[in-house]
Amino acid sequence: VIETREELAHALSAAAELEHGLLLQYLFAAYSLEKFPAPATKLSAAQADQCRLWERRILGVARDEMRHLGTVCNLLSAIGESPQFRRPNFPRSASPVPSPLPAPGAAPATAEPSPFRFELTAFSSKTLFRFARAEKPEKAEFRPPPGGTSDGDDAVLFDYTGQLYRDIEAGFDRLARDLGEPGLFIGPRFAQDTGDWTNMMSIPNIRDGKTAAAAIQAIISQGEGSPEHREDSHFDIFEDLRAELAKAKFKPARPVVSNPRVHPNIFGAGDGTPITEPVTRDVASLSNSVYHTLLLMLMQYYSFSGENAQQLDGLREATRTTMSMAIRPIAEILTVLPVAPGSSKTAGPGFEIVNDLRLSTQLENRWTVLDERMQAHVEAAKTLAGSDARLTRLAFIADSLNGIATNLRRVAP
Amino acid sequence: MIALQFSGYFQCRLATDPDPADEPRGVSGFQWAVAGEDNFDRIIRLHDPVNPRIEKPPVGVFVRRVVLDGAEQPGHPLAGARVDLLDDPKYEGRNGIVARSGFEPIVPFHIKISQPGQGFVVQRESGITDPPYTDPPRPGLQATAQIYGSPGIIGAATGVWDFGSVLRARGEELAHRRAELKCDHPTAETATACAALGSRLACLNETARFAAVMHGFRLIYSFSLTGPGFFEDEEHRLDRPIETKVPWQIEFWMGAWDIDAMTGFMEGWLIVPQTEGGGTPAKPALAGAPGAVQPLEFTIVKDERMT
Repeated sequence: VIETREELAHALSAAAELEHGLLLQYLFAAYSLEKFPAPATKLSAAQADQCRLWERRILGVARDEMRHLGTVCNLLSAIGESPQFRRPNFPRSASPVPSPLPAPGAAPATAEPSPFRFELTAFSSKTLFRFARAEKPEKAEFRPPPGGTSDGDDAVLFDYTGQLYRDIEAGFDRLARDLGEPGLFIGPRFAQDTGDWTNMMSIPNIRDGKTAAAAIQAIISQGEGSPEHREDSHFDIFEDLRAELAKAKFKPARPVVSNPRVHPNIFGAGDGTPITEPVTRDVASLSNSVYHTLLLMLMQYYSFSGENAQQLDGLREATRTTMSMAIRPIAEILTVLPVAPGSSKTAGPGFEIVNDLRLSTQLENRWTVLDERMQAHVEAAKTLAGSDARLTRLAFIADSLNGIATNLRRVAP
Repeated sequence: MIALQFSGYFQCRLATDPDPADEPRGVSGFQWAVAGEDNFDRIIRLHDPVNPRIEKPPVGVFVRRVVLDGAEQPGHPLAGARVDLLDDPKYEGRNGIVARSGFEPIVPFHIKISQPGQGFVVQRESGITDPPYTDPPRPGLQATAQIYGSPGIIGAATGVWDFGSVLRARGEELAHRRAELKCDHPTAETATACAALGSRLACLNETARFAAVMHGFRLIYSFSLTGPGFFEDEEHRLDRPIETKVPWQIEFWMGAWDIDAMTGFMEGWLIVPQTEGGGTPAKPALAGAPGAVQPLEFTIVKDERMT
C-alpha cells in the first residue's frame, strides 16, 4: 500500500521504467520486420505488405507507450518529483526499482511467465506472446505461449501492468486524502508537458486527484481495454498479431540477434549479443549516442527550469524529429548489418545507456552540451556515410541531425 | 509582360510524418507503397505518374490562360502548353526540421513550360541552390501560408465539392474489385493485387475523416525566380522575346490532396517580363489574376520561424 510521497514517486518511477522498457522492445520488434519484397528479400509483394501492416500496428502501440511515459512524468512532476528516463539496459530480468507492490505477504503469481523480462527480440510468436502478456488484463483469457513453454518466473512484485497502475491510483487517492490535494500536488502546472507533439498527440496535464485518476485510467484502458471492450487495446492488438502470425507461412523478420550490444551489460541479466563487426559497431555506437542525446533532450524538456516557450517548443520538436529522422532510420540500418564478421545474423538498436544521464545545473550549459553532442553525431554520421556503400542513408540522417542542431541553436539562450 | 495561368493534378509518392522523410514504403504515416508498387521517391510529378492508382482525374498540369500586357488572350496558342518541374523536385520539410507541416519548400524549383515538338520552351530555375537543410527555414522556397479549410477555392478549381463521397465511392469500388478477385482466398496470381487492394482499403478506413480534411488543405507559394533561364519560340507565339536576366514571379497553391491516389491539384500564375519594344507597356494586373494571395476569411497560419 502506498502511504507516502516517496513511495508514490517510487511506484511512478517503476511505471516510467516499465513504459520506457516496453516501448523500446516494441520498437525493436517493429524495426526487425522485413520491408521489401523480392528480389531484395524472399518475400512476395503481398507478404511484404503484411509485414508493413504488422509494423504499423506495433509502432502505433509504441507511440501510445511514449504518451504513457510522458503522462507518468507529468504525474511525477505534479507531486513535485523529477521525471524518470533512467532505465536498466537490455536484457534485464525485472525492474531495478523495487516496487512496494503488492502488499507484504502477498506472493506474486507464477502461473504465467513474467512479462517484465526486458529483452530486445525480433518479431516472432514468442516475442508477441511476451508483449501480450505485458499488456494482459488480470482476468482476461489468454492463449498459451508458443510451444507451451514459459520464459521463467522472475521475481517481480507486480504481475500485471494494470495492477501497478491501480495501486498507483490508490496511492494518489490515499495521499490526496492524507495530505489534501494542495499538499500532494505541489508541482507547478507550467512544469508539465502541455505541448502538442504531433498528430494530435498530447500529454494530459495533472492538476488534482480527478485529473490524475483520469490519466491513469486512460493508460490502463489503452493497455488492457475494459472487460466489456478489449477491442483496440494493446492486449487485443498483440493477440490479433499472434493469431495472424500463426497463419502466416513465411518468415517476416530479418535475422536480427537478441539484445545486440556494443558494451558489456554490467548490471543486467546476461550480456546479450556482442556486436563485433567493426562497421556495425560504429553504427551501433552512433545509435546509442543519439539515443542518449534524445534522453537528455527529454530530461531537459520535462525538467523545466526556466526555458521560455520557444525553447520548450524547440526541445520538443528536436526530440520528435530525432526520433523519426535519426533513431528509427539508424535502427533500420542496423537490422541489415552483420552482427559479426561473416555472420548471416544482423544487429539492431541496443538502446544502451552507456554513461549516466546528467543534466547541467545551468540552463545555458545544457544547450551547449546538446549542441556539442549533436555536432559530434553529424560528423560521425557523415564519416560513416562516406566510408561504406551500405551506409549511404546516413548522409541523409547527417543532414537531418544538422538541421535539428541548427534549429536548437536558433532558440538556445 | 506575359502572365500564364496553369493548373492540373500532380502526383507525389512520399511517406508522411512520423515515418522518416526518406522512408521508402510508408509505415506509420498515412501514405503507403502497396504491394506491387515501386518504392517512394518523393518526386513531385506534374506529368507521367508512377504506379497511378486512379485513372480519373488524370495527372497533368497545363497552361490554361494567357494574359499579354494585361490583356486576356482567348485561344492563344500557348494555352494547353505543358508545365513541368524539372530535376526531381521534392517537398523538403524533413518532418519539421526544415519547415513545419504545410510550409515545405519545393527543392529544387525549376519550372519549364513547353509545347513539345513545336519549338516553344520557357524555363527558369529558382536561383536558390544551396542545400535546404543547412539554414532552415528556407524563406525563399517555403510556402508562405497554409490554409486548413479551403473547400470553395478547391471545389471551384477541381469540381470536387464533397471529397468524402468520392472516397466512399472509391472504397466501394475497391471492395467490389476485391470481391471479383475472390480475395478472401487469394491465389498465387491474385495475391499481389489482393494485398494492394486490402492495404488501400485499410488506409481509406483508417484515415477516412482525416483524408477528407486533407483534401481541403492548401499550401500557398509565392517567390521570385532568379536563376538561369531559357527561352525558345521558333513559331513566334509571343510578340517579343522573354527576359531571362530579370526576376520572374511565380505564385501558386497546392491542395486537394488525395492520400489514396497520392495526388494533389495545383493552380497559379507565372509572370514573365518581356524585352522592350514591339508591344504596349505592361498594364496593371487583371483583377483576381496575379494579385493578392487569398481572402482574409480563411485561417492563414504563418510559420513563426520565418519572421
